[in-house]
Amino acid sequence: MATLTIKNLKFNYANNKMPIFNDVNLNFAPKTLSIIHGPSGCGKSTLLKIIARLYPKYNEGISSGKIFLNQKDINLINELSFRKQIAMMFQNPNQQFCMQNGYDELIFTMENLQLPKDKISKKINEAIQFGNTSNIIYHPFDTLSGGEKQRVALSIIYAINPNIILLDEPFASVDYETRQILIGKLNQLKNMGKTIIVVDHDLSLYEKIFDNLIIYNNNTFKSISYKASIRKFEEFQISPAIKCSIPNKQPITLELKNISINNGDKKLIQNNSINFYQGYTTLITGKNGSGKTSLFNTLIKMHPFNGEIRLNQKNIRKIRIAKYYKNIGIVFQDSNKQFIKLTVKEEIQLSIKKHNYKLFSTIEIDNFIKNLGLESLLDQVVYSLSEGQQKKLQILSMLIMGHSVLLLDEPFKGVDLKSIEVINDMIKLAKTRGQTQIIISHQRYELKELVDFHVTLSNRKLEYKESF
Amino acid sequence: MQKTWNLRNIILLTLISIICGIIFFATGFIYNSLSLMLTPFGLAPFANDILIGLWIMAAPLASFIFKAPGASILSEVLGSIVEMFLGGQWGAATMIGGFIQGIASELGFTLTKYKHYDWIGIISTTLTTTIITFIWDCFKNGYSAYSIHMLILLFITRMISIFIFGGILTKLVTNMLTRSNVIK
Amino acid sequence: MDPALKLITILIIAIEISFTQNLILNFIIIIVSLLILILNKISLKSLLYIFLVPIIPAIGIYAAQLINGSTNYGIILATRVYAYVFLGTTFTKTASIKNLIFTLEQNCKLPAKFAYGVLGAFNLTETIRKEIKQIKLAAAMRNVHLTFFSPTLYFKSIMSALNWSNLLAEGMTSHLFVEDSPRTHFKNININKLDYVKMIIIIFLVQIVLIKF
Repeated sequence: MATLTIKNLKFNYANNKMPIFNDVNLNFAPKTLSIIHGPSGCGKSTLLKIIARLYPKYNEGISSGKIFLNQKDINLINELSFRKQIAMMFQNPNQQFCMQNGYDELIFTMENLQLPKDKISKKINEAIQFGNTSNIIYHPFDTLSGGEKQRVALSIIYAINPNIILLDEPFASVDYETRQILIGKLNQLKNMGKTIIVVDHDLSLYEKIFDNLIIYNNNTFKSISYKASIRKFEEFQISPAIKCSIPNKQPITLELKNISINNGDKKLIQNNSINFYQGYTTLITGKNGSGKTSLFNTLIKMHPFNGEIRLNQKNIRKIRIAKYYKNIGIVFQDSNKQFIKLTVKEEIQLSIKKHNYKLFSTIEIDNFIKNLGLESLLDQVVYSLSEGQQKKLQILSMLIMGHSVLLLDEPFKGVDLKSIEVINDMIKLAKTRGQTQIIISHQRYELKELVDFHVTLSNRKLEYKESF
Repeated sequence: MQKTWNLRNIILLTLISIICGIIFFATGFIYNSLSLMLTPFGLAPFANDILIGLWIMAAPLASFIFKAPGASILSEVLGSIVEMFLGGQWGAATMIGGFIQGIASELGFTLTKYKHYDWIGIISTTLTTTIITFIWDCFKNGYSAYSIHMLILLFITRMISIFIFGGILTKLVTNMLTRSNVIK
Repeated sequence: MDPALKLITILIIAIEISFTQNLILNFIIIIVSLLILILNKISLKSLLYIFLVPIIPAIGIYAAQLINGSTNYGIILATRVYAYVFLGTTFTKTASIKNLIFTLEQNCKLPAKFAYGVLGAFNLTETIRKEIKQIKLAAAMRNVHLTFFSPTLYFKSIMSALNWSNLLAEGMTSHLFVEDSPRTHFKNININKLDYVKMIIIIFLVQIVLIKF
């Protein structure tokens, strides 16, 4: 059993004077499950990694304040004995394994734990049983789905048997059923006396098992009362639907005919047909892991599929790559992946120079730069920008390119409210000039003004809905 | 960068070799077509020497990124082990070649006392890499049987290739990394 | 045979054929390797691959000697290309990188951070391949075409490698990997004395072929 106490914690990223958070004072008791909740980019993952002593080890930021594990400053504890007490599960399931399959990874971990040979087999069996992973433990990781990898990761954590378990958005690439299973396992671990801290932007299914909800507000993280927490959960669950219409004989840009998409051996979309319409914005929603991003990857020819996709009546398998990417563009979820140049100015200028179709006038572009607050950042290196600034630059650069179809994957991640308005204006203007847009987003309210149609992806099916 | 050869940097170094390997193998068809074009004239070895700079690039790149002794050798040795398992087409020669190239490139930085990660370092490592790998090819690929004219031409071709890829391209890449504050 | 000893054996043979000119030895190496590969049930596809891939360089090097050097030497060099590839394939098809690294860690005192760092990076290869593909795609969508000549392609790839090296190191650290801290071994790998004998016999036989023929 272990208690974790955070006192006056503050963290600055390298090259950034503003602390990402300040004055964090929190307490985590044994046999409790705490959820840290907040918008993306607020630093909740960073907080978790500081607790795990991974930052500043693997990040050049500066932290001040203290963290105590059972009243002892964590920086004074010998590294291995500290690691034995705190285990972490990561958002990206691929980053937590250095071996090829779960069995080898379990052995690797138990060897690090310095367990003698004869005890390792026993531990492994128990861990496999706990995680219910006997059927996947020998499978190479690259054949497992996100949910299966997280189940293996949880087995390993069980084998480590730490007092404190940290989870960083553990269900981001996990389907609903697996989420249910894993949250059940977390409850089991909690009842065994563990101190559990989860970072999640999605609150569903935690309601019955959480003890403590921590919210990001005014640059800090604070625990809120039980009553306030319950309100938060309700807010999260029942947000009223926004009306929209169902398309009716509009001109078609993208036509998906009997397509099937798999991820490994998991079926994401099965023999489904749907159209996207020219000059309209369609929102695609669906649970985590339902295959929205895989659908986008399919549309940019980065993911295999069965069936036929037509862009302006032409089979996309027959369109040459270079030509295809002049017509279809994507705003990646991870902004870093979009950038080609080094500074903000170079990035925007590249798009102006290389555009496919002139969507915006020079004056309009200058206005966007001003309104997005990018004017003072023109000479900055893109990689030193905050997540929100990167997002704004990324969307602007891709809009200037003037693709006839633009896919946007979580375009408002980490963006402040005022800038969301500007982004909405830009996207709308591009639409009135003929661009077809497909958006994946969890932030429905911010999209109110923008969305014409709504498609859900559930039960391996894409379907138009009258509200979102 | 605390201790140079810590876990993070070992992973990074290996990944850099893997990246160079992946990009290099994507140019396989260039090598093959170049080689086929030159074969009727008995000049196929030029295909080898034109592209050699690309093949050895991981070493100077690693040295410029880590600015520490051992970077060139480690990148080539680790890289060649990994490449052999990834199905590099040269089989056993990959490993010996990797070791020799690693030493060859490293020597250029040793001679400048690990202080010149600039044009002097580039010239130095270009020279040592060209000379040592050329001697190795005299045996391995039978260069010793060619006429002196062909040898001189091959040598110059190789030096230019190593200078372009291991020198200029490496410098441009490290400049970008420095400007974005990733390396010092 | 222990992977480390096997690797050493193969490297010694490869170095020897690099510095000597013995057609018979090259053929023996190719035939023996082929037999080993067939005994290990190599797929027809892989077999075809290792026959076809070296064909262009082998012919190229042969033609070069034919025209600008000596014909006999040309045949030796062409068969040497095949000998290298067959030796290498024999090794990679009968040993895994995991077992090689394990024996290097336990028997050759390779520090664990190198052993598992390299292994972890190796297992990221597919991820990195995808990232490089995505970098090219992101550029293509801006009408920029990145080739092996573009500094941007290397720069972006290294940025991605940097990110992944941090992520993986974090992951390994949270699986209790602490640099320079002792570890136990679930599977003790001891090099069999017979393996040394095998290695010596193979190298001895190679010397005999070299002297006699």
